Amino acid sequence: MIVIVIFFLGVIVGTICKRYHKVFAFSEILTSVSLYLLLLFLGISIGDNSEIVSNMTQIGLKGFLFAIAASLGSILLILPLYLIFPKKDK
Amino acid sequence: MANSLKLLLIFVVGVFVGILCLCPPFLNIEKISEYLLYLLVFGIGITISRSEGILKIIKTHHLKLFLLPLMITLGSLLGSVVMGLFYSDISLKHSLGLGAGLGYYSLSSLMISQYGFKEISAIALISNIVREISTLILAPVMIKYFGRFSPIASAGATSMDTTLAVIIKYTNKENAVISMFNGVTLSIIVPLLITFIYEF
Repeated sequence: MIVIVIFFLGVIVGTICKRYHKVFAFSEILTSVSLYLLLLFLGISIGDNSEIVSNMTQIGLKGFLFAIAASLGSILLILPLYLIFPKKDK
Repeated sequence: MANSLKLLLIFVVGVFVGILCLCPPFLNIEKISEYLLYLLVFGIGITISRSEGILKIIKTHHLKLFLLPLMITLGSLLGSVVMGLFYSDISLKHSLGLGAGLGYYSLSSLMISQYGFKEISAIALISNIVREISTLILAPVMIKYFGRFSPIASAGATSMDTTLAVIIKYTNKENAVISMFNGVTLSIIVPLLITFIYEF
């Protein structure tokens, strides 16, 4: 829940500071640095867990299959929308 | 694609550091990660606020535009739940969590990790990166068989940035606007949905 609050706090701060481009440059650095560190730490906490490491091929396979299932589900459910949205060509 | 592979590489380096126990024990990774996640979502919030013109897009295109992210979200959740039926070790909650990533691999996997589910978090990371990469590679094929919205659907949240290039390339400008709108909407839905799934 805290994540949601902070997320919208960011949206509000960004909206207020719309004119100051430095804020966006700063947030870009903030997000990429924290993202790199977080993924590194996620990797470390997984590598540190021997049970998960021995399951790595299964995890990879599951990731792949869930990707296909979710993508396919989304693609199939948008098909009826072609009836609502008029076709526009280039 | 280069960016997602770079991020995947950082993750893999982390895994090896973890396996080799190279990490200094005085670092409390869990605690640091919690605060880093707050910094990350704060920055993401600022970045999203920058994608103005959303209101303009809704005005010119009609509210029915929301049907696209709505159906994409429902489809992902449904697809994941069906896949989860084949795995006795993945509960309904985690199936929903995996589907709720909507291609937003960094935020979804890091949030799931923060709830303490490391293995599901790793699956979410890989699964959502695969969504991005497969969209980049298969976009022309998808459009041929499932129409101009299909790469937007398979990409999910990344349809506003990393996969937007191929979507523009193989469809048209009108579709690109829809794609961006969809990406921003899904990026807001992902943290809401994952919080909802894991806290309620």
